[in-house]
Amino acid sequence: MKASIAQYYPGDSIVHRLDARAKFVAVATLAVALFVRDSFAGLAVFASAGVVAYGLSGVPVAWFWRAFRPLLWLIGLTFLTQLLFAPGEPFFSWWIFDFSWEGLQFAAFLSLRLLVLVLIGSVLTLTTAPLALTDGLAWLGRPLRRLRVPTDELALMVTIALRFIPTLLVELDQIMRAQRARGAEFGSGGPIRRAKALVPVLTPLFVLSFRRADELALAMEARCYQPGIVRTRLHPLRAGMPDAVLLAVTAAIVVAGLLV
Amino acid sequence: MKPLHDSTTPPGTPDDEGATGPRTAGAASGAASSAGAAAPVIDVRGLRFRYPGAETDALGGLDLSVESAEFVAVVGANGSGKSTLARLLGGLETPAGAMRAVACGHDLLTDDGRMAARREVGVLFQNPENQLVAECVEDDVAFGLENLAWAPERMRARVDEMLARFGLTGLRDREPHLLSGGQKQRTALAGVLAVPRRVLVLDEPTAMLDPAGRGEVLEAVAALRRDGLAVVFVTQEMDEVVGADRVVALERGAVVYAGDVPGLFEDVGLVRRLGLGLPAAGELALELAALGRPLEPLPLTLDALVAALGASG
Repeated sequence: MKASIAQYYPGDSIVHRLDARAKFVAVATLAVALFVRDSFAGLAVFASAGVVAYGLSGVPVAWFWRAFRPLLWLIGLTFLTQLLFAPGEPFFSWWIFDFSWEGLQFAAFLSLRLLVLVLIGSVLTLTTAPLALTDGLAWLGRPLRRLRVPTDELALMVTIALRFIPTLLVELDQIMRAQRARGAEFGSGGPIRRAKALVPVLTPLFVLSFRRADELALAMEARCYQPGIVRTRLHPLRAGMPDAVLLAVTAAIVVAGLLV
Repeated sequence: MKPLHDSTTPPGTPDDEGATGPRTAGAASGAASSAGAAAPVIDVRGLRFRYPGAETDALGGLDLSVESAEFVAVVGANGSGKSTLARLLGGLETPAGAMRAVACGHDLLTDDGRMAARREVGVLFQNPENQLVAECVEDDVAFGLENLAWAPERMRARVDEMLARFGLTGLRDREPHLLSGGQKQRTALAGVLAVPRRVLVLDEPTAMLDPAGRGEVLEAVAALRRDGLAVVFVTQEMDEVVGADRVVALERGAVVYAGDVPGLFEDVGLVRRLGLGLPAAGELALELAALGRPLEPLPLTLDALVAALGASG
């Protein structure tokens, strides 16, 4: 159940142990560089960086594949649209479609770029616990506090949401079984009928959630929580030498990728 | 405002040594307002509260006094104001008014006082599921300390201490939804007490647990009591009342009994009117009395019942 929510793969590899902030900055930098550079050579550099990082993470290919498979459609669709609609001298025509070498090349490039982007992004989400990622993003977003963006509160919100997803799934299951016991049918009939069948499920779920939110807020206040306070963390974010190395290596890769 | 309680003091350090509450049976007892070091940790007189939009007061002039290291049970039917009282004592609601409302030296009638009271009066609620905030046990235990901005090293030590104390060390990385009810409630209790407390208010903490979970929580509470923490135990389970130093019974937001435990159960008419019932042993003894085998005094525990039966031949 956990895997379907966040694709995080618990582990203790060198990639896992890197600081979430450093990993996020590295991935964001590579992603930008990836989109600035438009040559296959540059793409190859970034792709190899992604492959090496993935190799170091020790995440099983089957695990990666499960998270990646749904994205194949997107990549395939990108390839097709570019192939069919990119301008160029056609070498083959069929019905209203023209196929050109330029179009083929462009389509291949765009899909590969997307593939590399997904690979690099995956290394981040596969090796970073959602909580660490949330904390890291909250830290990186700190300058936004000056603009009155409540970054810490948003981070806590995400944390609580993640914590309650399994609880809500259990609750949803209970409600559906209770409604089935009363003769409700799910998953049969047309789309409208199916959507209608969800109303008696979602209504109690919402009501329960609001009550839960009330009680949770009270319990949080009872433990001295107030919006806007400065909090410390049991697991503070700690960046060290390996994180500095990661950023240096990232910089080198970006330079290499842009120059080749 | 009194200075804050030193947060390094472990919970339950009896700083008011030798103070035991007056034990008066009958109507509202209310401790004589003692001055100086022996001041009660909870001192409430004429406390009133009304929920927004409600026609009547949830609490209409309630008196309650709790000495340090005292264990006071609060009983009453649904809607008698027990939970409201628990929230008010924890500084979580704003009283409509009171002659006096002091918790751990903090005035509950002021905003600052309530904020300060939240640090020293811990409240454990009924539903364990809705009290756990974090993704794993140890992070949840740390939540209160994170809010008080404890330094990570100090927090680490305190969290480890709490995990060990409540038998959660082996579960520290467990996610809340994978815990049993008893484990969830123990986690919540550890989280409440990680912040050093002088008073613990328990609002029907076993109502949603199975018998095993209930046993776990009651055992943990008994241990706290031995450590000398003042405990206000709100409950509908009469067997949980039996061991208390004092019991306070509420009806429609007012105290109708305050005194020792046997005193409450002697007034069977009052107990029935409140919709409460007797402890199991007491109910059995009443049945026996109806069959022509009265036992005096009324036994409230199984041991007492057996002893009384033995004595009467």
